[in-house]
Amino acid sequence: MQDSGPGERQVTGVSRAERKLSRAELVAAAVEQNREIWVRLALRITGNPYDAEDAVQEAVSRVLAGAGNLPDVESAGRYLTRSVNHCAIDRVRARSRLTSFAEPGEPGPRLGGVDADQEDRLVLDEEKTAQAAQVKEMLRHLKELPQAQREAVELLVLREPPLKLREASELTGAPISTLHSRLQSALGNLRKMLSENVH
Amino acid sequence: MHLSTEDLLDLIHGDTHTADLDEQLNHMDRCQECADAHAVLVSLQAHREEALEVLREAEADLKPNTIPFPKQAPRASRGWAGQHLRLAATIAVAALLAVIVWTSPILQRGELVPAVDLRAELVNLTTDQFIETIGRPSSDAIRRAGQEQLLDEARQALLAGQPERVLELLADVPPAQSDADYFRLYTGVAHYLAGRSEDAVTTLEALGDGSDSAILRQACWYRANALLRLGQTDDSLQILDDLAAPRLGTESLLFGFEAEALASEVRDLLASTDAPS
Repeated sequence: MQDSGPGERQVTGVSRAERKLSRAELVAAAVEQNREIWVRLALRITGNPYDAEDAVQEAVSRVLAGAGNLPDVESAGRYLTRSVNHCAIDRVRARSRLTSFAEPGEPGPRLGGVDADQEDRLVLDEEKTAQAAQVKEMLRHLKELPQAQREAVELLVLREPPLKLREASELTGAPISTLHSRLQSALGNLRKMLSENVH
Repeated sequence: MHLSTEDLLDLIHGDTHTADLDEQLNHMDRCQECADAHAVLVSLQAHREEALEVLREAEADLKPNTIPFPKQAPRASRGWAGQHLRLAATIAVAALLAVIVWTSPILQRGELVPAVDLRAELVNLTTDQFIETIGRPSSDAIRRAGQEQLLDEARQALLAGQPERVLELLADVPPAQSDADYFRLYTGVAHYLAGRSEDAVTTLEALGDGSDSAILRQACWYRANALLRLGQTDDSLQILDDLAAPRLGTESLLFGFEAEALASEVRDLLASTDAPS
């Protein structure tokens, strides 16, 4: 077999790796590599396969429509991971907003335009009412956390943009290990209180 | 091996490298503890506005309380030991002041006291150690606090001059127990010794009605010291005067003399800085 010479390169043009890929090509390559893992991530967040698929689809659309420079496939992948995360959390938020309007016992809004029959809707409503109650309970427990733990939650989780442990340590004067321990305790307490409430 | 707090935070903020994502998701499939922690973070993020509102409300609830003291008893009712110790403390303070005045070369030369950094001088007057006058928590206090071992570890850490350790230990205390008096006292004193006077004041202020009077007096002593470090002399002097005021009961001896001596030193310092130059 003969090596391809300079003449052939001129015919085929520059390879895909050598030329600058468009935004759509970079996103497509990143999706090809990571789609499965993003669906798993979204499923872990939303707990619902339909919402997970939708979240990934929405994230890809957002990134495709976005401006800004995506230098390579890896950057596109990172950007999309963040976007999938945000879209999935948005879906959880939206679902609980729908829930908050549904009175217990009354049929609530349908998810995803699914034309569920009466029995399915009742099951859906029960789930949504339970979720709303759980959120309410979590917020109540959040208020009951010790002040130091609440501060850690605010700085590291809720602040926009959230602080890194090092930044929060500089701001509060508390050592990183202390902040670490406070957040861990806060999560542990919320987790424990919620599980006690569920059982 | 569980996911670290950093891993969970990166995960929830979408900062996890795609190469690590698979491994972390696999871990959560197997580990309910990490999956639950992640679920709590998701829920917090999804209800961020509501959560921030709740935190704002919680901060607003932390209003300063005025610690009530029993009604002032007539001076004649104080015990023999109290009167003599108080007299000795007063003499000691007066003697100390006399020595300072006598040995001061500036005053000997007939000059006035030079301008001083008041805040630094106030800090110099404050205590830098945990003075344990109330001993081990009573069985009743332990019952209310719930965790004897943790209380004792915190106490030992305070006595060993390790305030950060105390804060670490007590950060793990479940909310219901963190309201117990000893936890609050130890946390407040630890903040104070760690140099976080504002946190100390906030924490110690929260001790109020229903707290053990001996714990209250100890809390007041450290709160007054913390206020001095913050330069809030009026508030501090008010607390110190309350502590120094004669009262019935053995608790009235706790920090009474120290408070009187410290108040006197603060007033002298304030008077000296007010003197015309």
